Amino acid sequence: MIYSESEIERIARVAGDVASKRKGKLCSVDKANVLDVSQLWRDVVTDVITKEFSDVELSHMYVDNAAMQLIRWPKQFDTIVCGNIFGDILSDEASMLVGSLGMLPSASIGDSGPGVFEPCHGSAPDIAGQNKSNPLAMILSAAMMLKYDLDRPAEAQLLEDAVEAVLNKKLRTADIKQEGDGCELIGCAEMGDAVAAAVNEIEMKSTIAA
Amino acid sequence: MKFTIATFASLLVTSTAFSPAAVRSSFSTGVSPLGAVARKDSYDITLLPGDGIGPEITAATKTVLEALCAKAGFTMNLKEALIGGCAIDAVNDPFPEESLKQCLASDSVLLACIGGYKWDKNPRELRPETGLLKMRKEMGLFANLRPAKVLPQLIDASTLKREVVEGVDVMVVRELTGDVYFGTPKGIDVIDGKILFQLYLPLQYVSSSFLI
Repeated sequence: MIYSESEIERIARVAGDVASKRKGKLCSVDKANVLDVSQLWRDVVTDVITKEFSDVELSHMYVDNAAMQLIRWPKQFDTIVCGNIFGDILSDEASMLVGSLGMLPSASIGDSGPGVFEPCHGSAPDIAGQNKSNPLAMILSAAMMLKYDLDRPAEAQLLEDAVEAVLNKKLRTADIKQEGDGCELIGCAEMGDAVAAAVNEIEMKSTIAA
Repeated sequence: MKFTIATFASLLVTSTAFSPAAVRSSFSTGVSPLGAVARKDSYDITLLPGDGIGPEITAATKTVLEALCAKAGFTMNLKEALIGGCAIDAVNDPFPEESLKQCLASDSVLLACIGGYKWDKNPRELRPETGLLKMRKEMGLFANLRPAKVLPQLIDASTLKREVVEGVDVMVVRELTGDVYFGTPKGIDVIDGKILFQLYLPLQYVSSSFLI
């Protein structure tokens, strides 16, 4: 397991920036009681956050405890930062709190150049071309793009509000429809149209300062 | 000398509609660590529909983005490019050079999804997933942001109790390029006649200025 100081610094900066744009709480996850490289991780993250993001409240947690806490009381977390393998596992675990894979957006970013925004779900070949899929994860990925790459947070919020408005209207695609929920089953194209209509209806909040 | 991806993109002369990206903030400029473009009235966005349900969810997302632009009074030039299985079928490359150039010249990239049974038996270099890894590497993407937000309308979809998941809003920031996935040396050794998979843990600290 290799991490250079500069690799840890740059991910700590991204995490600090993200946390300060959310609720200001950052939990760094490592296995510092066992792995020396984890101790380096802990030291470097502490250094970067305390020096460059004084408004962010930093805590540390061992990964085995973090995995338990995400199930036991996930509300205690705001932003979590961790390395590749721990992050692979914990981000999948966190996504199952939501329960609907078709609703999950994600972003991959660097420190310069464009980022890539994509839903977490796969290509679902079994339902491809049948107008059955759920476009909301990709629409929410577009909202992340507006927020993190294009400096348009108000428009990002409008998209997220439009998605919730459509859900409030009790429209569902097959993956999020549940028996007896009193909701109407619609297809992928219809869901896109519904969100577009909601975008037109909802009032956009004034530009939020970045 | 620092040679960033943004610098490289500005040196490319492309015949496509996208001109190199506007000045981006970066660690070096100290404006914002996330490499965002500053707010403007017209954005160049690359869409990567990919495979499977990708084209249909991309079409639905386009409808939404067009409505958003009309409402908020700005422009998004949405231009598609190939990645994944469809790229393999078209030009025998899961992430063609042309797609990479277009992505680097864009303000941002929106990817749907890639992969399918058709390409499962391909050699590694011709698998859709290889295109994804190449894209992340070439574009210098080292941070993965995965939010998990429980919406009240869908709370019953969670496997956990309502009072536990109600109001959950977590963001996992994951380092994407280092750690055990990419460490060397690694491999399978034969020791005393037994085959062992060894994961070497060289415990080195490297303090460096990093040339990207």
